[in-house]
Formats: sequence, C-alpha cells, structure tokens
Amino acid sequence: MVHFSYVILPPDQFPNVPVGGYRSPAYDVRSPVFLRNLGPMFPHISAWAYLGKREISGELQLDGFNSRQTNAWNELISKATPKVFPHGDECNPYIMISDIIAYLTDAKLYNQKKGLRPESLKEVWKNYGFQVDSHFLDINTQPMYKWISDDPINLNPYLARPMIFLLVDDIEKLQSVSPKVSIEHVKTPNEEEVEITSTITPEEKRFKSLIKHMEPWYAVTAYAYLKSGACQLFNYNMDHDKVQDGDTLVYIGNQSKSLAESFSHFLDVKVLSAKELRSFIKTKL
Amino acid sequence: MLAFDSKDFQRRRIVQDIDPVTKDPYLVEESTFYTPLGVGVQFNDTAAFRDVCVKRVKELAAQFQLTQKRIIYDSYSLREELGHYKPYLFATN
Repeated sequence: MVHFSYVILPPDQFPNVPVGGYRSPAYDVRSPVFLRNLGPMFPHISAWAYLGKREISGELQLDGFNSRQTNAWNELISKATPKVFPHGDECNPYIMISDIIAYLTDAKLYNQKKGLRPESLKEVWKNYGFQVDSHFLDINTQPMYKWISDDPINLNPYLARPMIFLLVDDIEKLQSVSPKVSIEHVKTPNEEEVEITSTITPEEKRFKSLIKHMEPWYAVTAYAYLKSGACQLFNYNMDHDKVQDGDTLVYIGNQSKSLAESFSHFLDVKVLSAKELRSFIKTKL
Repeated sequence: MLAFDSKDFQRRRIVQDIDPVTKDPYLVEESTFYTPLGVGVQFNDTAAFRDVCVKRVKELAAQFQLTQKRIIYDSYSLREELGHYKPYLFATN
C-alpha cells in the first residue's frame, strides 16, 4: 500500500497562516512562505497524516527531516515510536522506494498532464498492483501541522542506530558555532519572493554537496545500509550529543581523526579512516 | 513496516519579464503551484523486499553504467547522473 499526503492551501483564499504561540510569540507568515517551510518538515507530517486514517503497526521509518515543534509530531510520538534515518533515501531501501515513488509520481502526473488529486494518483499507479491511498491537508487540519514554536524537534532519541558519522577536516572550518539561518528566495506568480529558511550556511551547503559526490560518502552510505543504520556528515557543534555507543565515526584528515578518537575515550564507538572503510566496503560489494 | 519520505512537488511556467533598467525582455521561471508531497510505503515481507530491491538496483546500476558506486540510489543522485529522462526508465524497471 502506498499513501500520499500533500497540502492544499490556496494563497488567494488563505493569504496568511498563524504560527507559533506555544511558549513563544504567535505571528503570521504568508502562505507561500509557510508551504515552502513545510518541505523539510514533511516526513513526520506525512506519517501523522497516515495515522489519521489507519493504525501504524510494526516499525515506522522516516527519512531525516528538520522541523520546528508541531502538534502532529507530539501526536505521532504518543502513538508510535518513529525511527529517523538521516539520508535514509541513500542508505535504506524502504525509504529509497518512498523517494523513488515520490519522484515517479511527479513525473507521471506531469507527463500525463494531470493535477495532484486523489483520483489522478490512483490513475497513474493503477497498473502497479498496489493499493493507493491519499490524504490532503487543508486549513482544517492546519493547527496540527503548522509549527507551534520556533524550537526545533529534538530527533536524537529517535535516530536510527547505529549512526555512521563522516568527519571531514575542512567542514570544521566552515561550520558556525551555533546554527545560522540562511535564506533562499524563490519567486511565485505574484512577483513575490518566498523565503525558505535553513540552518546551514551557503558555504557549508556547497561543501556538503561536494563531499556527497565523493567516494568516501558512498562508502559511508553503503556501510549504513549494511548495518541497517543511517548516516550523516558530522558537525561537532550541532551533532556531538548525537553520538552513542555502537555508532561509527569515519574520518578524513588528522583533526577529524583526533576528534573521532576522543569520542572513543568515553563511548563504545568504532573509529575508521575513510580508507579503511573503503577497503571494507569493497569486500562486501 | 512503514517507510516515509517526501519531496517538493512544484509546477512552473516560463514568463517574459522586462528588465527595469535596460528595458530588455527576458524569460523567467516562476512557480505556479507548490506543496510538499509525502509518500509512505507499507511493506509486508521486509527481508524479501530488501534482497530483491538491492539486487535489482545493482543490475540497473550496471545497465545504466552509473559511476557513483552506491548500494542505494536516491532519485536526486539518479537525476544528477542520468539527466531528466533516464531516471524514469531506471526507476520504472
């Protein structure tokens, strides 16, 4: 069974969305801004939407996400224990299939000139032998999926284990002491530019995208797959409290080696050089 | 078992605009519709799926001559490496 969820919030009918208000100031954001900011939050909202229609039995796996506090998250964790896989679409075959289906759905609807509607979703997937269900979120359920505070959801207790962290020397130079907010602008039909806030700097984004096209990263994702865990680039200031017993730290560079080894002095973690990991992965492929 | 991911679902159009300084016309892309699209997939036999999926991905990676040595290929990596049309063929195989 495949379950789709999406948001319908026409800006002409709902120009603003009230957010915040839980132990924080309430304020309005323009609905195009609101929708764009929902993007990085959506895996948990999607799981919550599923929960509104069906029970979750068995394990619940979510691709990694960044989100501010929502009632949807609070309700989800009261009924299930999600396991969050950072870069799940690169190391977890189940999340990969969800990602591929999302991509194909977009392509199929576009090719067949169909809008995003429940009947169109059924139509484009009718020959594939699985049941299709959908749930669109509108203004009525918005109190559940809007953010109620600017505080981020703490995902540490829900991270898939083991986590495989890749430490690279130069990323330490680029990372900020505390997460900075960078803003990306996207144009909409009304000539207005939509701001999408992000907690990483453009330099860090560039560097991360560079590392993600290198063999050590492929080896890290393969290792995470073999261990049924998840993986991410390591940023000391943001991620030091994510490391737990059983995790693996993969380093590139002397500074990162020293940092990775310091974790092994107080935690039961495995420390590997990118070269050692590469050799190990070669024996498994 | 259930697995969830999401993607931006966006429709765009190309419109002509006028440069306010030079008064020259230029083409600009604008977003006409946007929503995040969440997808949840339910798996009954997870072990069987995992084996079949990884084996098939390996075959397709060889067939499409992918240079990124991965076990799992996300749609973004496929589009980066294969462009816009071939990932569709890869994913529907």
